[in-house]
Amino acid sequence: MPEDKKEKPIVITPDEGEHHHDHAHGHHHGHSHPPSSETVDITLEENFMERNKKLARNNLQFFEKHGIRTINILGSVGSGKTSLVEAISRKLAHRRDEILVIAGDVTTTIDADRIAQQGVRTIQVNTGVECHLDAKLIQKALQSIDLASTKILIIENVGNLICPADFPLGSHLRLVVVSVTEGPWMIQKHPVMFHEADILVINKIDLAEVMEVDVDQLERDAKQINPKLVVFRTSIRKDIGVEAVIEHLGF
Amino acid sequence: MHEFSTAVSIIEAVKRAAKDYGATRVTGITIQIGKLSMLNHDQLLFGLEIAAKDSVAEGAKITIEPLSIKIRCNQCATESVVSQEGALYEVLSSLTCPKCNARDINVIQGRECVVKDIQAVIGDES
Repeated sequence: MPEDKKEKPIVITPDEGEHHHDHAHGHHHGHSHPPSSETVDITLEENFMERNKKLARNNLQFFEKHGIRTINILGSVGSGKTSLVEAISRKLAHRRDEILVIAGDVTTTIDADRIAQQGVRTIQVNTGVECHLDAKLIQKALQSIDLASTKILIIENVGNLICPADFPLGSHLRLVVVSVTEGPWMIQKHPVMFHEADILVINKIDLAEVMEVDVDQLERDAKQINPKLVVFRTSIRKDIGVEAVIEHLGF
Repeated sequence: MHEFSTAVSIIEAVKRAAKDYGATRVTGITIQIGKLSMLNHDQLLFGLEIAAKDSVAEGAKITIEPLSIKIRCNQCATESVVSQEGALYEVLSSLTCPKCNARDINVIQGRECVVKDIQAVIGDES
């Protein structure tokens, strides 16, 4: 652990009334001159997911323009997301000035504090009541910091295998961490998340035998949903398999 | 659990449309939700009822229409609607191009949450 350089995380929270949307444009299908009152159909066709998708596309353009390689790390609470970010930061200590971490959490700065111990710049985004990071929060976090030296952006999402699947952030890659301690059904129960992912890290493999979880089966479940998924097996705590993940990320 | 914030956004959009058209009351709201969306329909309905309270949309009949999954094949570019019902794991595990059997496909529809239309009363009801 580097002693000479400790970073303190910046903390970002959502604005009040963040949920404004583009103005709706309807079409009037009713009669043109109502005598007294009438019921009309008004077409809205307003897609609430489109706004986030548009912001995510803007984020990706921004990353491309500034040469920042971005990954979105997802997974349940306790699967090993923060440990993976710590391990990447430690192994890339010689490039730590190029690394920026955005850590998403509902209310605490525990994750960002842990990561900042590795000497990398860290922004804590507290979502307040929300269960996921969205593209707007990422945009806002990026405005809070000088990105001149940044080449690698690691986004650690809120611990949740459900909601973040609905909210792309504009990252180059989506990496999901599952651990054998979550039991044998995590992948089958959350198929959308794995369908959307590029990389799967199966963590805590040193505990697979104790947990009586078949790692081969986990991998088969994931590949069944998403044949293009690239799968790694790790024990981040025991430093098994992490270097292969970093190599694949292209950092 | 982002159903409530989604519900609030939907009701805001409905209120804006009602205002634009000078509606005194909204009697119906139709929402389309993709089958791959993580939004829970019952929780969303509950959230909409609460969000609509004391507004022009209070008491509106809310209809949720599921929107099918649509895929495009990356090999032969065929677009097709997925008709298979059942558990999402099974459905996602068998997404295959019906024309060339490739599994290399992209989902092009199924994640949406759309306010399709509203029914509104315009003019003096008395």
